[in-house]
Amino acid sequence: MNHEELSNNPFLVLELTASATRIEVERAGQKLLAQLAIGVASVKSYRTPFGVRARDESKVRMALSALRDPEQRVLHELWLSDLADEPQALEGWPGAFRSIGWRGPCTE
Amino acid sequence: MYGIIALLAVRAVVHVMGKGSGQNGPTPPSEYKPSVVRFTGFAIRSGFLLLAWGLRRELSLQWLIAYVVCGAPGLVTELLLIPAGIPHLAYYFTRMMYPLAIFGEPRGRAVFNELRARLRRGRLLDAERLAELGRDLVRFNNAGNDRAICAATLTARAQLDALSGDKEHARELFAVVQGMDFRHATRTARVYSQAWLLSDAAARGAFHELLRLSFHGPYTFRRWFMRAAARRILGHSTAAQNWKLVCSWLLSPARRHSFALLKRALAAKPWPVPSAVEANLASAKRLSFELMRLPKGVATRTELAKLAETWQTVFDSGELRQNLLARREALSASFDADAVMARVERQIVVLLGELVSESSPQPESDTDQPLLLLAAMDRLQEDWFSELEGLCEALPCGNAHTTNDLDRHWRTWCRVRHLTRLLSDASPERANWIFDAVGAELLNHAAWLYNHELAQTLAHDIFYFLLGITPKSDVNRETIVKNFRLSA
Repeated sequence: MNHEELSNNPFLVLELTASATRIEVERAGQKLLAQLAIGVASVKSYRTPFGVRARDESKVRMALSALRDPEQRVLHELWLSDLADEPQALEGWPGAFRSIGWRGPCTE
Repeated sequence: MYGIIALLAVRAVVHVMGKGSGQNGPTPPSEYKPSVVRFTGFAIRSGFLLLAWGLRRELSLQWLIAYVVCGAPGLVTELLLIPAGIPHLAYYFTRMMYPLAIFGEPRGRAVFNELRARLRRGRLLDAERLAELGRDLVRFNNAGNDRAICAATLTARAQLDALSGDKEHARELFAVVQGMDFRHATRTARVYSQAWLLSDAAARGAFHELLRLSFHGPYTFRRWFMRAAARRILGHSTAAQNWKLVCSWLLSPARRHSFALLKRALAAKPWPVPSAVEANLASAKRLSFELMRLPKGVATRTELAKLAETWQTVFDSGELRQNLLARREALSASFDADAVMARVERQIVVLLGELVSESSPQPESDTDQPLLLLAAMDRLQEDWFSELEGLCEALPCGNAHTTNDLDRHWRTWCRVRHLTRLLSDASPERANWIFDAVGAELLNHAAWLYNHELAQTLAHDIFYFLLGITPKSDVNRETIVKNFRLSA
């Protein structure tokens, strides 16, 4: 279980609580798919305990599929957190390469 | 006259040293051992400096400068040509001052200096120019061996990799260079490699990596300062006091540029302490998320042990099972609660493994650790060892055909060193398992490199590494020591 897997929790993708019923899950999923199809900007991202993540149709479909399976659903319920504030990040030191006389491109 | 006599004397001594090491006869200079090469270089340069001193009253200023430049070319390059950043100047000066292979690695050193000069002003760094510099850099010489490929050449290759965007390979090469034996690596190349690695980690905000890197390579004030700053930023309990941090900054190079890092380290606030935990599922979940949300390297092994203990209690008390059974009933499902519990346990082991790989080890024995944490460490180790063993099993040895592909041999060795470093950094108490797992394969491969491929510098680096990890009681130790001396 890593940051990405925890961020892709279907409940977070569909913005539902762990107690959501099957009907609520389907309704939320179909609503999001429709909004994504017409390009509503506000649904293209969602909040997670590790910051904001991008949402697309494939993620919503995968979330729906995961929550339809009871075994997967209980696992995702277990790993659902209500922490929504932005985690503190450790920023890099932008002048690091200049300190060794490196003024070349530093792209990954 | 005196100069000619001095040069003849140096040549005579080199000839005698060559005889002593079985290198007499009409062999090209590049076949001389590094000790002979180093001696020749120092002797000739010292001769020039002594002549400049002895004839200082008789020579004109121009000649005096010429003698000093010939006697101390490294100083001229470091203090004048590289800071000036004028393209081609450092390259041709190095080629001129370190002619042929008498002084070791002429081309690699020239490319290394040239790249440093170009990087000062960011000039002529387009792909075509870099490809021109990097052409045939890491390959066997005309005599068929790799005596002209040492640390400067590898550093130049790593610089080119980094400039072309391949930082992963660049990191592996720089990491190998900073840990090379001094017989094959100039201090300049090792210090530069270390500085690049530390700067790269700091630029990415990977201060946990910086902290680990700062325990490797040559002893420098830069490493001392950056380690102290990283500890402060990560909020470690062993972080240096303000005055020690400022002192280390004052002693480190590039103070103007690193002042920003000093300010940041001094202003660093402690990270939030994880909330008190009770032995239940909700607390275990909360603590997991709190530790996962901290920046990499901030969570300590003690906190991870606490997390593992809490999860262990949740499993042992049956709370998780009851919770799963209740949910199964509520969802009218028919899944196997024990199978789900086993999946949760595996997920927790993965989660702990992620956190362990980013945290700094503490001097504690395996027996004191909770079982789940040990399982996480075992899993991490299994992942790294499986790749390491796979790599080492595929290494050519015995009567394998020569490939003449020096670049690939170095790349494979860099990957092996990267994996061994990951293992020993994450759990130093298990580092001695590396020799048991792959020591014999590496020894055979190094012997093959030395005897068949004539990659003597690379073979020496492998023997040097093995020497550090071989237990004193091991039967192979004597062979490794003998091979290490032979390849030096």
